[in-house]
Amino acid sequence: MAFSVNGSRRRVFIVAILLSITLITLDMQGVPGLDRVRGVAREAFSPVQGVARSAFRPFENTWNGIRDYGRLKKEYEAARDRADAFEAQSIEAQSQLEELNNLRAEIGLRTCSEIPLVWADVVGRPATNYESSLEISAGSSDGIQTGMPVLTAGGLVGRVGKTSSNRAFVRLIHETDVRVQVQIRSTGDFPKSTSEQLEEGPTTIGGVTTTSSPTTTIATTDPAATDPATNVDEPAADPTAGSLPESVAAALNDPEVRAYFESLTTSTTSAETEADSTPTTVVRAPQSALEYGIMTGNGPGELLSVSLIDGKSQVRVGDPVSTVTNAASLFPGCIPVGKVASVTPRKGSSQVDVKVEPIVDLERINVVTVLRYQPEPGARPVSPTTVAPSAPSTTTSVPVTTAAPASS
Amino acid sequence: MLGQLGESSIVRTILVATVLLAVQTTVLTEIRPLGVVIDLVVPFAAVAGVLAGPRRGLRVAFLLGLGFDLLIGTALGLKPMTYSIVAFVLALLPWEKVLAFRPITAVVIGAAGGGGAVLEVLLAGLTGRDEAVSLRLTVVFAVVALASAAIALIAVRIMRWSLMAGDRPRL
Repeated sequence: MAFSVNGSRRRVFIVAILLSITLITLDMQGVPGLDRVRGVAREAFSPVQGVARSAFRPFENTWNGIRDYGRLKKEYEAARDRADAFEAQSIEAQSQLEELNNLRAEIGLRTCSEIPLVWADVVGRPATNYESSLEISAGSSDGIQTGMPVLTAGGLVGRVGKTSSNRAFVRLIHETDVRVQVQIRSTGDFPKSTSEQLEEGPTTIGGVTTTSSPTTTIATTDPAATDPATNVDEPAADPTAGSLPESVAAALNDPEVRAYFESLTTSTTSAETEADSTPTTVVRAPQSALEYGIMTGNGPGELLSVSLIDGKSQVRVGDPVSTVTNAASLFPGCIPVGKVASVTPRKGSSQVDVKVEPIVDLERINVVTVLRYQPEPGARPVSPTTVAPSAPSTTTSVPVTTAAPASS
Repeated sequence: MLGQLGESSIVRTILVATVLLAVQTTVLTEIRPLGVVIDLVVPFAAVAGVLAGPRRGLRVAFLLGLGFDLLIGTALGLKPMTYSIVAFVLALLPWEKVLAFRPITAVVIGAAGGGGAVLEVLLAGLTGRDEAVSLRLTVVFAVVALASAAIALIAVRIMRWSLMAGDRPRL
């Protein structure tokens, strides 16, 4: 049957197929003329789409209401419970953020808050079954260019793909060809330092009682203690007051050792103010290390994968994942991405497979922010290495270039 | 003159294509049963092949696909290729028998719609977008096939009104 079609009909079919292949090839090569044609077509058709959206909105709302009612009710109740806890944490987080921004400014590192941004509504959802780009209501006339990062209040969403004058498409991070350099702040079990070894249990040294937890060390200072050495991390002990071995006590009595510990004394300890009867509690920040890797998507509804993570790393489930500060990275290094969902050893390799659950629900995004950020061309990238808890991480400044409007 | 324009097959086809693409790129991106995007343009392309034949029907299907691709951010050329193949294959069927019985029409158009949706994903996989190539394609086929079968008879009426205006022959 198929071979009874006459020659002219077969020719039309072959021409159509060849024309399609040509269009696909040209589009994949990124021919600028095609993008311009698409931009014009979208601009011309947008009034019709606007009318259609308005006309069919009741049907959309009915469908979404029926489909999402139960889920939304549960999410609302859970969110209310979390809101109170978050309110208290937000105050602490705000002060820490200010301190972080000040530190970044001191070393010349541009903060995310300094990068110009563009707010946009999501006006179009994926229209096919093999891609999941979102269409947003901002484009090249707003300074948006291909490659710019897109995020919500929660975290990273993706990056800008094709743009036209007042529309742009966003490639989501769960697409397989979107790659992001990320860092995982691992909070696993690190080797104990000397001070931690001394703190296997509650220990009183010179009026300083020290207890430890898996990630924090809490020391309280007894204001009644007369010993002038007050840095609780490095307690200058009265050798006769605690439970130290004689040899250690003798070492601590050495004048040079005492002078060293006294040099660590801060001015805000309660031992210096004998009238202060409030115990001083010092909480040491949890130890952590930075693991660097490349994150890729596995399609809608699937967890994200991070590769190049060494098997000896301390990455654990729940560790936060964010973009990495790197002059050659496509993203600035201050955007949360998600949390580690699983860590699986890879057979026959020294690396592990890390799966990440994104913070943002990529299926339900209504408003996005586009960071007008582009990496500096020719910048030397930081090599991804594991940072030991005691070693400072190396970072490079991330300048922002003024984004010129792209031709659509 | 307006009357004559209204009788023109080209004008009617453009009108149908405009409404179809407007609906496809707006409401059908929100209403996604089981997470599947219902491509309603495929059954119309299939009906174009049945009604207008392998030459004219294929041209209509190609242009429908091209119009769709221009409006969305995916690879230009995939939908024209998909719809052309669907229209050409349907055009090879004995159209009198396809249109004679409504259940047969619905089944054939439904299968063409589901097959076209799967074909598009497979062709996208050849261009590097292979994250959707999985067993989930069976769900895509089922959903799109059901939707295509549901609107098959309406699509035949609409495309007959637009393509066969002025008693244009089947080519």
